[in-house]
Amino acid sequence: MKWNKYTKLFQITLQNSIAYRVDFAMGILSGIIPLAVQILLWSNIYSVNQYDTIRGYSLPRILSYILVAIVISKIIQASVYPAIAQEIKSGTLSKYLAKPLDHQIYWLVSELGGKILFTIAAFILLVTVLFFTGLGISAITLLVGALVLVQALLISFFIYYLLALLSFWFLEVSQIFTAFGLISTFLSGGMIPIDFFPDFLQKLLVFLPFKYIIYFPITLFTTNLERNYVMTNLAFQFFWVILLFFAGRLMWFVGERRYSAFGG
Amino acid sequence: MSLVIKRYYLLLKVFMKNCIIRDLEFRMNFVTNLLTDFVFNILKIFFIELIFLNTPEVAGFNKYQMIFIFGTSFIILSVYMTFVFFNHIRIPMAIQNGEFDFALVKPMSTVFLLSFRYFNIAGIGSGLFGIYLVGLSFYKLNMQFDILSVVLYLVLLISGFLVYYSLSLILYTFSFWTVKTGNFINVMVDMGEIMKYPVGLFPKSVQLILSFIVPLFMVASYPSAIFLGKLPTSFTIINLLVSLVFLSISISFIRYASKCYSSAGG
Repeated sequence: MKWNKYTKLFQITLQNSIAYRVDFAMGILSGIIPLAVQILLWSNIYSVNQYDTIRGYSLPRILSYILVAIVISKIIQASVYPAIAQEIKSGTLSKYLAKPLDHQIYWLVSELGGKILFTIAAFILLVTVLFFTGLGISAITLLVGALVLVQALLISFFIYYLLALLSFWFLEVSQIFTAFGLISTFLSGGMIPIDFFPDFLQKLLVFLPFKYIIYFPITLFTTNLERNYVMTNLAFQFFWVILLFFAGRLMWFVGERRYSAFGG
Repeated sequence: MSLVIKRYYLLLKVFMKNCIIRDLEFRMNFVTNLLTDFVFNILKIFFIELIFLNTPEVAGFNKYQMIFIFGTSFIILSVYMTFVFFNHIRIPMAIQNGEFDFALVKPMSTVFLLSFRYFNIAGIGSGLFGIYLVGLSFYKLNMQFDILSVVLYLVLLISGFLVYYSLSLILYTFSFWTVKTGNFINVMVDMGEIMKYPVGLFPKSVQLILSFIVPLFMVASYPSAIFLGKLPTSFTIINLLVSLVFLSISISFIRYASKCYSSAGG
């Protein structure tokens, strides 16, 4: 049979993915538990107080916010920064210095390459979910949404690039990544919408890059925003992309001078 | 009996001393560890603050009652992180590369060695934060306490720790059979998350599971209930007994599992 080889391949990859059954089950469990706790928590708050909305959020809207937040934070999560830090620490960075390669662009491209398939899949999933939950989505939102997601990914990457370059000055930066990741997820609205924050913090966050990473993309997808609001936020987002891009180049320029190629 | 206890006490002291000396070599690492824990805990409390900006209560608990449970779980988790965590996460690796042999031939309890060899002094930070939170909610809730309830609270904290320890041991014992264990750590984190919330938040069926099969409520909710809602004194005794039974189940399980161990490489 012509198709035999493909069904065989399918079987093998399927078997591979469930070969480690206990770990596979644990992975599913640990994916469900935090979400379930969040859903129970919010359902309880709305039902006990008999609220229709809190700060403009109805129960279904906040739950869809949390679901979309999980997808988007997976999309924008930079993944190459430990490798960047490791290279600086171990001295293998030297290979870039001798070649006509731009370090920042090199890693940006490899980040995008590793992420593009997953991002497209997640994007399609996201749009399908929005479509079926009746929230709907217009063609123009879709286009703007794609642009917003790309910019969010860029901001996230450039921030982690800056953190990774801290390795020029500090020996061990992995804890800084963890601590920053926690703060960043929180401030960018990955756990709870920014509308729930105290007013002063909401005002402050307008001038920080965080809300443009998760909160802005989510609200774009899950609510009908005014045109002016979208344009202003897009501009802010673009501003942060440019600023962090040049900050990264400056830091590389300064850091490279401190580099002493340990062991390399 | 007292001789045995004294011997293990001495061993624990040597282990701790050894690890503290090692930690002192990497002071920066110690500071960043403390900092990460602090950030993690502070964000949890910040999350609670945000929730209670918008609702007077969650599952019958007001803000400081909730913070009381959070503080209690920080204390338990801190003891776990300080003494046990960095030991249990090494079990899968030790089994895969055959290092478990060395644990078997040492003239001491294998379970003790597997659980207390690596002491992590940075884990104390979140315990101190937990004590502060418990004290704060005591003050804010205007609670009265007597010696008896403090003693009962401490007894329940111990039984809570034993339960959490046993759950961790049972989970990591599975690594005798499974090669991949990357998600085990996430399950431990999730369990630490679940136990911070009031019993009433969960549906009845889940409550049954979390009371009898994976008794996470025993870890933080029951100790807190001494002060937040009265538990009968007899309950404390039962709780302690249950945790001891649970502990012996987990130890028998790992003993059974070590019989299936066939070393590696050589």
